[in-house]
Amino acid sequence: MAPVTLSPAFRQRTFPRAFLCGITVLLLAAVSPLRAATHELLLKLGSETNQETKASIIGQLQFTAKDDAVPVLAAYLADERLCDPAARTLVSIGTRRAAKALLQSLRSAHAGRVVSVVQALGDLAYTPAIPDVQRFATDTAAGLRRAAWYTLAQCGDRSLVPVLKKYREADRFVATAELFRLARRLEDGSICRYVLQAQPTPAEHSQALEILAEVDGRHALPEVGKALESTETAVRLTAVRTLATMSSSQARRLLRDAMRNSDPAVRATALGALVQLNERTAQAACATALTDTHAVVRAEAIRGWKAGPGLLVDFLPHASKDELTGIARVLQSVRPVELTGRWSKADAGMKVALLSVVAALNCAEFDRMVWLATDDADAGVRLAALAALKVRGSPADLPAALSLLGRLQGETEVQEAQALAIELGGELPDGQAGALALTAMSQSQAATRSRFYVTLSSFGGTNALAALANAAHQDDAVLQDAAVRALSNSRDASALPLLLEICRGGKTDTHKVLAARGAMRLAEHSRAGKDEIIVMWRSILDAAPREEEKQQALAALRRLQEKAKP
Amino acid sequence: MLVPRRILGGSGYTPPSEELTRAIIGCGGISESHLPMTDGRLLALCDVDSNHLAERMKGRPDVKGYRDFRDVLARPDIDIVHICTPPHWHGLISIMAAQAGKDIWCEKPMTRTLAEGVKVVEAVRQHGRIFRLNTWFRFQSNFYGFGTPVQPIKKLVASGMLGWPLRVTVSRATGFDWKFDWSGKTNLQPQPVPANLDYDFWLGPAPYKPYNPHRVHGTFRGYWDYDAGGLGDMGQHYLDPVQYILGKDDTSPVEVEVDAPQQDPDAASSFRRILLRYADGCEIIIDAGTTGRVPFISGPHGNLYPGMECTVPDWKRKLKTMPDPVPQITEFTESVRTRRPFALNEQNGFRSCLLVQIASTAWRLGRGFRFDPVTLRANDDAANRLFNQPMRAPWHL
Repeated sequence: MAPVTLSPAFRQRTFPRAFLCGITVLLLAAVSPLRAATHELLLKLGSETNQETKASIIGQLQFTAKDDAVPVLAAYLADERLCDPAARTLVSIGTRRAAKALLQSLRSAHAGRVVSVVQALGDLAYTPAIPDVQRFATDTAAGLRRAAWYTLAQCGDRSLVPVLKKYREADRFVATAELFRLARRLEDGSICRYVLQAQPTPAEHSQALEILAEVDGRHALPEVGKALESTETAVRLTAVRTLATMSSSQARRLLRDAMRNSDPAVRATALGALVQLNERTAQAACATALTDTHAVVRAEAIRGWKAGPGLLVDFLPHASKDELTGIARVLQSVRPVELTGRWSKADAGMKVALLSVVAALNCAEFDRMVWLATDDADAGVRLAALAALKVRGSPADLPAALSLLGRLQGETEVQEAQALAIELGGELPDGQAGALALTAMSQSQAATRSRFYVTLSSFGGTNALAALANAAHQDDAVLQDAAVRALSNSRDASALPLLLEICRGGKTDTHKVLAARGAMRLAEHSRAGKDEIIVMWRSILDAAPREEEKQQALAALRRLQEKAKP
Repeated sequence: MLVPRRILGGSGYTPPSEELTRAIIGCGGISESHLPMTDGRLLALCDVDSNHLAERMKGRPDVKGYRDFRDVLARPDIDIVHICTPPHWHGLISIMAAQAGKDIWCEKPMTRTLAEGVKVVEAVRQHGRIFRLNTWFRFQSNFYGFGTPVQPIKKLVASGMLGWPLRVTVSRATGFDWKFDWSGKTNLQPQPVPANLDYDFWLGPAPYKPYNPHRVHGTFRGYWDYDAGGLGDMGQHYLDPVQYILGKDDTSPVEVEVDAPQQDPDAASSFRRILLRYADGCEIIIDAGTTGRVPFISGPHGNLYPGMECTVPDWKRKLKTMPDPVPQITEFTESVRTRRPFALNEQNGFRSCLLVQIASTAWRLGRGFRFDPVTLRANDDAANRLFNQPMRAPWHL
């Protein structure tokens, strides 16, 4: 990077630049915007004396100027400060005349910054510049030498090859990049073969293979095939990807062979390529890959699956959670009967997997199967069914979900069923869910009634809360405890008086504390007016059983008073 | 002899041979968020400001410092490079990193110009690299004022409940601040370049302009040569999820309209409203002025407001019956190890960066234009030239 020196008398003046910008924008909006703007900018460029303002104007011309501005801009190529913006503006104009002006500047040794002019000629790929640029290809200044390489490579100058080979040790990164640019420009595979033989890094090896396949097509197969055995993963993967771009039978054979490669990433990429190429053995390869020990290969098999669902469904009990999601996506087009048909003969593992897929598929055809599964003998199946119902269930299913509460056995299942009922009931209008829960509770056996308390507390409503209040006064200590705990978790503000009553007259200290905390939670989240909230906190203060709760109530009252201060 | 588990590997241990190695190019403020990433070993740090580099090197005796990123890319033992430079370097370094066989974690915006973006996509594809852009709202975190990730919004849009075409308003009124405090200054006076900064290298492919501290660290976003003000800074954060929500990852708008004050040729300032319109009539409004209650998404059948408030009756229940969006790979190291594309990669990242580039080009020109999402050309010569700007020698694509 050659430094740019500034005139010692440099002063940046902002007014002319802003003024010019105004002109540019106004003119750009006119009927013939670019020509008019260019004209004005060129006039200002001629009359301006400040170098930085001139640079700014030339920068604007980059977006407006056409071929007729070339002579004016060419004059600035001789100026050290203005050469670079002028060269870039000439590149933007992009005409033969612009290229000629750049070359002329180089020939007359008037270029202010040779590197800018050389690179601009490269940007334009102007082949008549080749003889003039060649002399810079071995320059001692790295910036100029590299710019010359770029330009000669852009122009397809074959004589650059030995130069780049010579510099490959000293300036490997840039020299190799330009060799590749040249290989593409000349469509010359021999350049890539040279790199492949010259101890390439994995990145160079990969790039050489890609370009070789691009320019030599099937003739690149020996090199690509050999790369499949490389010790570098990146090279092996490039080889597979390259094979995927070739449709020859040999390439397909190599891809099939790659399915036996010891590297799972290679196997997965090869499988993806076979599927992409619609290779006739691809589906058989997918089936084999389902038994691969590496998840990445199995995932590719699932992604590429186009055959019938049979084998895929057989695989379900062995699939991970992610694989089940992938399989569900593949099975979206499968008729429901092909999944439900498996149900009657399925063991517990298969049923759990089927239910996971059904949850992911999220369609109504499987609902009957899911509800049947809630009565399965296996607890894992019942849990999987509850998980599927959380996805599939609607408020209309609430009675059925509540009836599960009376039937299910294990603690986890009951908790899941409670969560399901609460989720479904939450979408019903006020009171309706509570009424349904009360009905279900009345129809259930005495031993399971406490399971409904959590739902009653969550749904709220006068009747539901009254039922809980009654339960809180039962003689059975277990039921009483469940009722108090449920009531203490209520989100319904009308539970407050019931909770305060327990605070005052609860049968155990634990119940009194639970009720106080429940009451405080209601007061904290209340959306009532400030005065009403103050009354709530005062009642809690009055009823609270311990010092700790009383202090919290006092703190809350203090906060409310502070908020009220102007 | 006893060999530690961290060398041998096994359950809970990653042996050095399988550990991903990283380098960070650009040690300014944003690099701080790249440093703590624990999956992988940091081997190199690079910056053209020796003070920034020294600051980041503190307490990292095993990490080597560099001034020239090409020396970092030449190291064969580095798997991933984090590009934390200003945007005018993103494209070039990404391309060279891909050529060097590195996987890339690049800061947003993906590139400064359209032409750079095209070359990055080409290079990443040709070299089979994994690329991720450092914005994440399409796959994680709550989306600004919504209190939820974008997946439910995507699901709602895909369900068709809002109808089609949709209008998305990205505005302060819908929870998005366009940060006009990133504006540039129009009265910069030349100042001596500090000894710790290689200013010529900092400028790199950008046009030479006399040094002023406001041009560089922390405030460079206000200048067109390096970014595009608040739109360049936040645009891809805000607009990439919108592109995902609308399902436009493989296309671009066909038209842009702009309402903005006249822009200085050097310094970006503010805009009032930029409208991007897709071929199917969907619109993205980039709005800086509107206040009050405005829907984030507006459709023929309903609106969606911040806070995930939707006017479609019974929408929550209906939404439950719809399939979830296709899962994405959201762990970069998983992408690197499995060679599967990351959720926000060079392809969809290029398209969402293009939203920013189309909008900022119209803003800078002060006029709208039509755009062809296939040829990637505008019907405006000046816009096309802004999309593809020659670089200052010796830098080139």
